[in-house]
Amino acid sequence: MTIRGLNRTDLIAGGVLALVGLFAIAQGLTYDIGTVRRMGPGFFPVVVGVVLVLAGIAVALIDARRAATLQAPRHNIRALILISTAMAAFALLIRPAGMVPAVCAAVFLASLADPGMKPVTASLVAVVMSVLSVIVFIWGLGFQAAPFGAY
Amino acid sequence: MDGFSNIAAGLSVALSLQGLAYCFAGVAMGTFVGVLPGVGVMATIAILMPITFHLDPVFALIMLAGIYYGAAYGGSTASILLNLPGTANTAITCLDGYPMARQGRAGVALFITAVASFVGSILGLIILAFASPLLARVAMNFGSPEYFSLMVLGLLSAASLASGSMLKALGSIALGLLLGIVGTDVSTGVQRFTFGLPELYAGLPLVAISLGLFGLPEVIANAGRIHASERRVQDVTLRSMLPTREDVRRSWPAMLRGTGIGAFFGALPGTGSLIASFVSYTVEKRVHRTPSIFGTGAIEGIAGPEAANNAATQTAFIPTLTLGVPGDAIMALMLGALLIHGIAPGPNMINDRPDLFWGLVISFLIGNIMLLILNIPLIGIWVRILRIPYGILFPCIVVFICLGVYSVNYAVEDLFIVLGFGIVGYVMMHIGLETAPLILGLVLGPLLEENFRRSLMISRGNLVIFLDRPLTASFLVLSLAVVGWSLFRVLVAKRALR
Repeated sequence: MTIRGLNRTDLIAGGVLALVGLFAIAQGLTYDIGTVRRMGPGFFPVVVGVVLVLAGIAVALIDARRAATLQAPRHNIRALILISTAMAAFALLIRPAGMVPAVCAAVFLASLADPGMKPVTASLVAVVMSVLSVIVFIWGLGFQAAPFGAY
Repeated sequence: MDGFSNIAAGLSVALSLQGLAYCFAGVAMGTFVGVLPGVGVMATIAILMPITFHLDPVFALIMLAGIYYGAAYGGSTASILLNLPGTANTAITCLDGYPMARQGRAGVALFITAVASFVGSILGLIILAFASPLLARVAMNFGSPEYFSLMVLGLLSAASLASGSMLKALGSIALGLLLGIVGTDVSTGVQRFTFGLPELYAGLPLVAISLGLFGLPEVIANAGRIHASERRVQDVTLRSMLPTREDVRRSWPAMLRGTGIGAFFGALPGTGSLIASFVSYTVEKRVHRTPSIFGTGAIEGIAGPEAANNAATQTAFIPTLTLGVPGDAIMALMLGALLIHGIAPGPNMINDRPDLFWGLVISFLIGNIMLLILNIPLIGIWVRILRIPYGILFPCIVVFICLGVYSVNYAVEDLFIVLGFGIVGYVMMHIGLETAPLILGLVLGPLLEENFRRSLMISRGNLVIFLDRPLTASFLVLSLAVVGWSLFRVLVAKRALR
């Protein structure tokens, strides 16, 4: 996709780099810059920030004019949402509910990211995986969690 | 230097039961992820890093390194059988390996790649064992200015040789440098970019960042996209692997040339096995009497690049272990794993920790022999593994990521940090910013800053210190040349488009 002949992804990439760079400069200036002989903690962040801003501008000016060199990967929003949810579910369940519910929830939710996955297969993988996790991690490696319930 | 007692120390580490077990675990896991397309080496090392925190650093490195060079063997299997590279470094093997498979010569191709991998690795390993002590002796005289300029050279050549745009790679490196600043400033004790959060005082955790940036985006990108059921994998019998006399005669010189190319590019900062395998393929095509056979199943086209790829994975350890300056992102992760254990690799390490250096070298030798067995008599197992549906595999990877992260501190927050970086990694992937240079910047950032500040303290603020030392000056001139050359390339390419 292009905006006035400029490659849109490259414009975004350049913009992100430049913005992060500006932030680094602003934050870096709140620390002591020091002198050349004895550099303060602010010097390096400001230099890195300047490099980021320059790189960002260069990406937006030079890369964006070229035809896209790398084929951008297709978006996979379904997987992004479901796998993030799976991790969040694991995080929220591991301490209060235990290993088996946490692993089952994570496997089941993550499996749904594949549209071709049958719920029966997903449940089966979830059960096998949670049993294996209890045996290998809790009993084998001393992982601090209860199979069921709060730890 | 007492060579024999050092090697004996290494032998006792590598041949101990634990040493052998972790070596085997590493190479077997490496072959496994190498064989499977869609599961990368970086991601696997990141996933296993938390586990290695509980290990002795030597064994931790033996296992992580095993994954790295094991994957270099395994990657060619999918390239040959499916025309899908198992790892990026074996992409070139598809060109002639897959045509060979279609001619019914898959077995021969697999055999030759395994042998080429072994030859490349062993010769690369010999170079590693002999060159490292010599380089370490030279590096003994390195001061802060030398280290600083060497790191600048490494970072800039990594940026300019990146697979995508040099400018974006430079941006990624700078992002990594910035993330590396977070935490307490070593020289002054000032808190930088911590925003009052005590969790950040010790800096951002490398494991969380690398898992977030490599593990998650890879799984997200591939989930629901790779379908193993569609693949038709032919069986490979041992009998079909036997090469003809003609095959052997044509492969040998290619393997040796490949090894030389690989060993050279592996040891250089910023270049690695990917470039080595491409250069080797080009060279084989150029020296061949009938270049037109390349792409139709030329055995030289798999023997050379595979030897190059594996030689490079061995010599890549030279700068990491002797200078403490990693050449690529995977080596940066290895260095990070050592730093977490409180070991800073450098010229003194070979003498101070002979058990570590020689233990690794000998373990690499054993690992390569194990790999030869895993990849020739046992190839059938790996071919069958190619049939595992990715739909079952990736939920398990998600769980491994969760378990690994949580096991480091048993802190729920860590899981959300990884998730946050996972989303950052996904966005970076979609706006064309590579994440590998970021890791390089993140690991090298603190070292770069420290050596820069120390240099200027030594010279009392005089920047000439970077120019009046011959080595430092030549590193910096080389850096300029690298940047100048790639800028020239970018501008010329731009003009050609108009």
